Amino acid sequence: MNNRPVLRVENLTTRFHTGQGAVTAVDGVSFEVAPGETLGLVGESGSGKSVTAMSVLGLVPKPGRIVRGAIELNGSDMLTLRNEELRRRRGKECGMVFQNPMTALNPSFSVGWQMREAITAHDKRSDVDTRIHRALADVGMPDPQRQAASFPHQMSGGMRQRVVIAMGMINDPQLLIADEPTTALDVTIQAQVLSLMKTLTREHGTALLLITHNMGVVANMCDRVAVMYAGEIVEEAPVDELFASSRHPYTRGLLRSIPNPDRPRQKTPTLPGSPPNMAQLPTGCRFRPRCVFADSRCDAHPDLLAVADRHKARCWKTQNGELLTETKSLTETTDAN
Amino acid sequence: MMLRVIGIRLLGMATVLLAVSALVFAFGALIPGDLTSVIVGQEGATEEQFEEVRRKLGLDKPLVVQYFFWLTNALQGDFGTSPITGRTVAADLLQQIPVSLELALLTLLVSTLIGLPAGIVAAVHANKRLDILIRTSLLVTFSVPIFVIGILLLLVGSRWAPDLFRVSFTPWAEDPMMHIRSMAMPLLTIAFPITAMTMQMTRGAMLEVLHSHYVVTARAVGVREKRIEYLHALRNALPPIVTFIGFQLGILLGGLIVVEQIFSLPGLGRGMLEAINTRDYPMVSATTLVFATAFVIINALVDMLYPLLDPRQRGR
Repeated sequence: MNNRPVLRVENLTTRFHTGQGAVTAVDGVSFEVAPGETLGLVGESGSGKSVTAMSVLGLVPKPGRIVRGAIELNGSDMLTLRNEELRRRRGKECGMVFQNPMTALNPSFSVGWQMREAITAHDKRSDVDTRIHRALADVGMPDPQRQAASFPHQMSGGMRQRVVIAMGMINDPQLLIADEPTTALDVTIQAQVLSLMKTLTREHGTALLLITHNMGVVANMCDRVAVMYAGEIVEEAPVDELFASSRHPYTRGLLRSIPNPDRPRQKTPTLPGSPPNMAQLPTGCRFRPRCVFADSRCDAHPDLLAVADRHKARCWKTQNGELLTETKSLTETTDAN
Repeated sequence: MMLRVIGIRLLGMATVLLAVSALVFAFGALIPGDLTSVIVGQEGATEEQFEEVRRKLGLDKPLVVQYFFWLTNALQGDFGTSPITGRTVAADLLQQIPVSLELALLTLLVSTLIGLPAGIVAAVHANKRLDILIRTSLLVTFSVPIFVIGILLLLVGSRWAPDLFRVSFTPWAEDPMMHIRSMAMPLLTIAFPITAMTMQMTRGAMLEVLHSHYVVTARAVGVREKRIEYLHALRNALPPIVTFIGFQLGILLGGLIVVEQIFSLPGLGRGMLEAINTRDYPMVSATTLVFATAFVIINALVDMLYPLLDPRQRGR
């Protein structure tokens, strides 16, 4: 296997021009996804992780526009491609799984018909039916022939998400982007769908860009993690390293906010404050208003710098390798129940 | 199962029509003055003459009994005889219905053939030059009342293209070519606003669908944009569009009254207006009932089309 990354995003900046002015949803984001690797993109709602994903396939909804940066999928620059060339790569080199399976499938057509569309958009071989049935069987659907003939409304949310995953994987892409693939599902189904995605991507050697706000999902699924805050990546590290010694106060706060199932009566800490208004960002460090470590240095905007091997953080405090010391309370505690 | 559904449907239609017939009859009875005054005349008639005519027409009986007789006769196709023309109402209706039906169906055909594609194109190019062109040109015609368009066409047509249009109505059986020429202007007049409505409705329905998540899904798997617009999206926009076109037939029925009057077409609308002016009660009631029946049937047809268009409406 070559070492060229499947996906290389560099300095990506995506901006939405609204009536009130421009909002930069993604601001200078860079990351790479290696072949077969699973990268988690983590952050709160509005941190720009979904827009990043949509930018990769050139599907940013209006009035959004990629204003700067480069996106390389399998070595070709997606931003300079013409529409038809871009279309040929969608679904073929990069599949996509969406958040809400209840609305991601077309209600007027059978599941099999929609999967056929995904195949014939790229090649018109004759074994389409076999491929559809195999793909449905691969995602654990019993009786694929019958399921292919049924309509989305006849299926449960979990089944529909399996179909969406099957559609994303049907052309055997090198990369699968999953945007909050389990958020809309029942908790009992979430684990099944996640383990299915893990197995499928392992078997096919598919790289996975997993977008989530759930640190538990990250721990189970990812090799590496990039944490986003207010349109920027604030920390990036291998998953074990991140959980063991996070170097950004925001990441630290997120990790502390995971409820502990072994001690259900214990109060779960939460991060105080809320993410900044993207139309009126604070000057300097964007996390500063919520940060307990903040001092005068944070008036200037920090860069994302290496703090350890394969570990980067965007924080003045830790940029020379220093660890965050636990002298102050990072989080406030509230009653989990 | 299917038979049961159709049975319930028909029963519902019958109930609605029964209610309409009762209303129509009640209104006829409520209006001051009755048929007798039309037949006998307002002045110079004695009270005995009035009584005599009333008895002959059965108007001395209680209203319920009158309604019962009227309804049973109507069900057999006998709507009585017009006191004005002396002809049976049924005979007149049989002359008028084909004219109006032809005009209504032609209008629907023309407006759908133009309005539907125009609406789709407008939605696909939303807020671009083509969309604005389509919308302004169609909506300008929409904002002009039918009678103004009609009279303008009449003026322009008779002045500059007298060979193209013919103002007096000619039945198809008499001279097909003349018939087409005599229908052309009424058709154009009423087709303008209806086309604009179809276009606007189609555009709205398409725009909504084009913003849905499954359209993004289709893009993300690499389906061609044209195929997404004209197959994936359009298929989902169809149910509301078809419903709307069905409703338009109802609007059309009202429009017929004006258009038929302007162009002297011997259809239902003109017949009704004349009947109202001459207080031809049997004629007015019968025409109203015909309009109501048409409306109920159209609605039933649209409802039955729904499961074909939307898989979610089909039984499991």
